[in-house]
Amino acid sequence: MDLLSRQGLRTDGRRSGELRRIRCKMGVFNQPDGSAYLEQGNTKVVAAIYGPHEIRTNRAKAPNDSAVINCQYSMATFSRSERKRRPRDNKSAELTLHLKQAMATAIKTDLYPKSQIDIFVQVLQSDGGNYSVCVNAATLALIDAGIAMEEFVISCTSSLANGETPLVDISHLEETMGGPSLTVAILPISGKIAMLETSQRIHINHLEPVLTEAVRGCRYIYENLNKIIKKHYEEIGGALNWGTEEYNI
Amino acid sequence: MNSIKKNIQDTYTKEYLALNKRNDGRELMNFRDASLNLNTIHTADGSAAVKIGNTAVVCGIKAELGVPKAETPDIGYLLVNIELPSLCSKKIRPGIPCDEAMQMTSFLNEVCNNCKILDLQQLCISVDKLVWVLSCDIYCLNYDGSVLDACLVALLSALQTVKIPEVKYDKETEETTVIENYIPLKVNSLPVSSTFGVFNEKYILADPTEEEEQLCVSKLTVVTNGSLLFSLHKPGGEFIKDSQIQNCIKHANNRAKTIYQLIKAAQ
Repeated sequence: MDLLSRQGLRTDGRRSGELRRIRCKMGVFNQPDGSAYLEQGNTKVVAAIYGPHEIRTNRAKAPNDSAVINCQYSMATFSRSERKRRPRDNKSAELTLHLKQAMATAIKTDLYPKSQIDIFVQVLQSDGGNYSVCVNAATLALIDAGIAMEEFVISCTSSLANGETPLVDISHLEETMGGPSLTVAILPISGKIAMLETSQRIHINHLEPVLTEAVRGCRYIYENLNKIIKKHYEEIGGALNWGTEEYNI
Repeated sequence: MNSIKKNIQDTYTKEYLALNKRNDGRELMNFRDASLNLNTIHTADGSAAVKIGNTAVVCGIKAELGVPKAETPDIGYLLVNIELPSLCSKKIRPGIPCDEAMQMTSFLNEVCNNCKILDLQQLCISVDKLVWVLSCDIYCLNYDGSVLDACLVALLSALQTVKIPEVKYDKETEETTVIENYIPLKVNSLPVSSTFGVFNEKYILADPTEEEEQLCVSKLTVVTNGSLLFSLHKPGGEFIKDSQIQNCIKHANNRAKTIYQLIKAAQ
């Protein structure tokens, strides 16, 4: 089976540079301080933020001048076609660490000294790009929680089909049977790269087109999420008359 | 600090309760609205998402093949597991699974066995050799009280969406062939659980929120399907009277009918 048909279509009918449908909702839960549900194609993720609050664990080691970021990434047992026996395995532990590192680049931790920010993400259904969707969902949840950030952290994946065409926002099928896949998390306004990972060896000449395509994917996701966030705040703000004279009184 | 807060809330709530009103505007014996969404997870063989007020749970069921127990060779397995990830509440610390989740899991497994919600013989493919194992994992996404009620609704409605393929098993060669002929599961009964919070011996609150659960001294869980009582569970705490239990059962029966209609309507 080819990843890209002769007509230039992928296994799920997308073109090589096309992303999957994004659907999201902010503030879905009332228990956490910030929460978001994000769906990119068939990958569905919920993220919740607790904090900033008092440090609960290891108070002695807590830094005096910045916040501690605590992350947890976990996959539901029914999220993949094969049932997962343990929701938290080595792979999850690795992704937890990656998520923490990527989010730490953008959160203004020095504004919350002696406190802790918990970021919990749960994958409910997985179809490729789990990590990327989790990063995006965590960003939305952090915004919902009102935690100060430098800018968004947006992540996207890309791969290489037939050794020449870069594919953006890859699905699970493309992840498993395709060529090298690359995950990148960027700060989209400044264009800084927060995290980058390749899954297997890739020819040095191929890196640039694949990376460019992933970054373009990130920018597309950023624009879309930005629109959704603005609409969300227009809705809540509208009810409270934000920005009008009535509100100021 | 916490004791002060509790004290203030106690008096505040008491004044409200005397007027038959609660923080969220409900009357004492009113339940929150429930909503149900079927087949939300496409990677699972059956799934449902349930919201009761702000409490949200997702149930996903995976069907796998397994070997039956030697003492019961002709029945399959129905394994129910409740997860309370740290995402759902600030009370739950990350890491080890919490006691509450384990207690809820064993309670739900017991209810499933007592009520015979599934005829487990329909999960048998070949006696003593091959049966279906239905692993039902329920994730709580937002813990806002009465989670067990939501879990049971999610489990039952998810079970009704499960379709298992027909499997042919050759006893001699031990080969299995899956035929793409999907059969829906038959669900026998629909027990509905209703939780009541005992605030003090005078006031009982139906379907308490997380905040109310904190203030309540005891809980009472009634599992019924409208006419039959399956389980009563009151784990210690404040005493309650016989008549109060009867009253709770009456309200639980009405609630069961509402939930029953909800499940019917969603299909």
